[in-house]
Amino acid sequence: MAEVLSLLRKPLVLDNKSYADVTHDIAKPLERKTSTAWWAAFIISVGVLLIGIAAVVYQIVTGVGVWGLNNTVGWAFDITNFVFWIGIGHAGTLISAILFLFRQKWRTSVNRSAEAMTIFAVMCAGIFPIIHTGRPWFAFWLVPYPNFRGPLWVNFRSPLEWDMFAISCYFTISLVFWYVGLIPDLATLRDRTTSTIKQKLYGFFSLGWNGSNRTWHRYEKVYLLLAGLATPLVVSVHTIVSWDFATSVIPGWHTTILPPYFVAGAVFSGFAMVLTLMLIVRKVMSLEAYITTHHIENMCKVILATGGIVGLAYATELFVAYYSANGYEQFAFINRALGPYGWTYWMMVGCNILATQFFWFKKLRTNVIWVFIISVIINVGMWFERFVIIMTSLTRDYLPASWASFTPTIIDLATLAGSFGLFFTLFLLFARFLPMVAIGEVKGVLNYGRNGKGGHA
Amino acid sequence: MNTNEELLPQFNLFRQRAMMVGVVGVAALAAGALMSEADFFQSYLYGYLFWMGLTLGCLGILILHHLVSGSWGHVVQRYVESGARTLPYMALLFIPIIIGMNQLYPWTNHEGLEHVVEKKLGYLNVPFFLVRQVIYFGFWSLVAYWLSKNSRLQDQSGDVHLTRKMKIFSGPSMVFFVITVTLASVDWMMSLEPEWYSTMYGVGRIVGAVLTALAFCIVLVRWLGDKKPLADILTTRHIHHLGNLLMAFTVLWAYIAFSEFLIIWSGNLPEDNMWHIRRMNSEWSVFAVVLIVGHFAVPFALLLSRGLKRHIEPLSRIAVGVLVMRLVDLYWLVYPAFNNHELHFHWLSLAAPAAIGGIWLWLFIGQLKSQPLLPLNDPRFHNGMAEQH
Repeated sequence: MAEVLSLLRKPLVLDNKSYADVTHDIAKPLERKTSTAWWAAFIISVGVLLIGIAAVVYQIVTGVGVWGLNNTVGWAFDITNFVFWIGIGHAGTLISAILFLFRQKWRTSVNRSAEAMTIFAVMCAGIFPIIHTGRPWFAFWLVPYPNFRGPLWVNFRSPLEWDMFAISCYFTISLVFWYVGLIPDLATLRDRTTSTIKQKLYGFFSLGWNGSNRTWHRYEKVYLLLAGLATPLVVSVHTIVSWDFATSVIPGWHTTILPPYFVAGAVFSGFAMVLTLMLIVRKVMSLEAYITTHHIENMCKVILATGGIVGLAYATELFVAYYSANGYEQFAFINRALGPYGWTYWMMVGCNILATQFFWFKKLRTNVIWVFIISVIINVGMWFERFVIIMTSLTRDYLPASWASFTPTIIDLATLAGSFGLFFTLFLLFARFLPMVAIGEVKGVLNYGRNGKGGHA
Repeated sequence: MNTNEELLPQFNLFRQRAMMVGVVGVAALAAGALMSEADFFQSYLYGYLFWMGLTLGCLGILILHHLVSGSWGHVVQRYVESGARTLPYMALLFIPIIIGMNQLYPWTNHEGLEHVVEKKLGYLNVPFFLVRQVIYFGFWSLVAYWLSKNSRLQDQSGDVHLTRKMKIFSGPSMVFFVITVTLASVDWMMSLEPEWYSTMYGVGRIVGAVLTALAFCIVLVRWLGDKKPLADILTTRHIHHLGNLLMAFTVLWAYIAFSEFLIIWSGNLPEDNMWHIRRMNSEWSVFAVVLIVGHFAVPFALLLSRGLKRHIEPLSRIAVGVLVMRLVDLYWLVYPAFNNHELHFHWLSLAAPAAIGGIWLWLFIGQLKSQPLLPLNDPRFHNGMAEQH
């Protein structure tokens, strides 16, 4: 039976690491001198971020007219980027909360970075609706409270308002969840560091963690409760984003399958982003023993499953558009595939559906280069998916007299680039100052799939 | 080799009773058919859809189990295999629906159709409908028999490679399962009101079917869990997993039903709002309220409790409640298509589920008793069990 068991329970951490090795391997990159590569990446990211900031400042000072949108196409790059980034965030919560509830032990090596990615992605996402309002200094009007502006209340029936609640709750709980998970590791760093400043800072944020039985016990309770809370929230966020579109009467948007389709698409794109980042991180920070091909393969399987749901949703939309015998509905989908933005539709199908099919094969799922390429392709494809949904329906609505087209301006492109700059700047800072892998949790699964001597069970 | 000799007398007794219910039910149906043909066909469709939902839910769980191989899956594997193996017989039981098509599906009569329905006749026509049924039942039966055949082979040989083989087979099967069940839900149910359409419809019916099958499995675990061989391996964690799944699918059902409603209500377009108007702006709204409370709020609140999910006795009672609500849900989905405004009850709508249910359970137990109740030589089975302790 030995062969059978090793086939089924692969060790999650390779190279026969000891507990001390785990701490050392993960804390080491934080304690040595900052590398040139990091500085290079950081300077580029900050540079791109600054371009984005300049574009946003220019837009706020001048007005949203500097974007390519117009009366007909009121949502364009900004909302595409918003939905894209929000979607990216979903994988983090799925890995950290839902896989935790499902007792999927492999999550421990990737959850920390994925959660960090969630928080940064939600920050990137949040910028777009706020600058889209045109007068971001009035953004607090989105918050319903008794006021002297009339009193003027928000429209509680609008999913755009629900977005505000869902995303702010989601951001809060993601941040708390991530921070709570960090506490034991912050204490580890506190105990290891030789610098007084770092000791003070890590000491302050580790909240006096002493590693006693009781602290661990309470920690695990809180962690479980937060996971339970985060799970419905993550589903609610993209559901409400999908309602932004579906509750309207625009052909191509007003379709009932949108909520599960958007949630699956979000997880799909998020996992692609996790893979893109983690494949770089494990190479640069020498974490191959912790983020193994087994982890990569599992994430590919999640991508295959969620990509399958997305593909079936595309197919369902096409079938029902035919079946509906509704001229507007049918036109929306013919226009998607064959209209002026048809190439973006085929980009979407090619990147999201065709490219994903390679993951049926174990050989390709375990080939790091191949997985990296496909993960980038999926990121591109999922950006295009949102662009297709928004653009094809808005440029060609019920009234041919109001048909228009959209071309992004340089400001649109700079703002999109700037959001990537922000994302990578934050991610690099995270990689420099906080442990990329949850030290305490990995120790908990260190013996998984091993026998007493550290080999395979 | 483990056989079910100890359980055989119980199985045989249950089968006898199921057959009796089936025979009496069929007699009642025959009498009802003579009195009112329309009521007969409507009730027959209703009863058939409930048991077919259970059958397809079993098949869905079976495919899912081979894909994800959780330890809970091994406990119910033989139940869902047996359920799925009734598929060829369910194909035979579909024949009365074909006979009654003219009375059930408005699109079969080409006169007096709405213009929009006329445009759908390329899909909604009798020959193509029949071809699709052959494809559905052929594909489903193939998957059910292939998976259960290999699992039975593994019972004999313990060959590890069969596990891999079944896993590889299950990936594409899942894709085609979703496609075929979605289309079947359009054929069997959505086209009862041929002018209406909704992309979420198939998703909702799949979730409903899986929920029915999960609740059914939990009831079976209640019945067989304290008897050998299941008693030897069943732990609280298995029950907890099943309870969590029941809760997940209860929430998923509500999520899908509510989202579909909200989107249609909010858009309020005449081409797609009539389905809900028929069911909610009429006497049928009573059903909607019962479903919100009984199909979602009550089971959800109960299943939040860890204690209830970890004990088979209370969990199985909740599962019975879910099964009853599945019948209510289906009634609300089907009957307003025939009776737009007034509530409609006919004694046949009780007789039909009972008659088909009797036959189905007779077939089901027949399949169940012919094989070991647990996949004892599945390598993942021992591995999964080892993790429990």
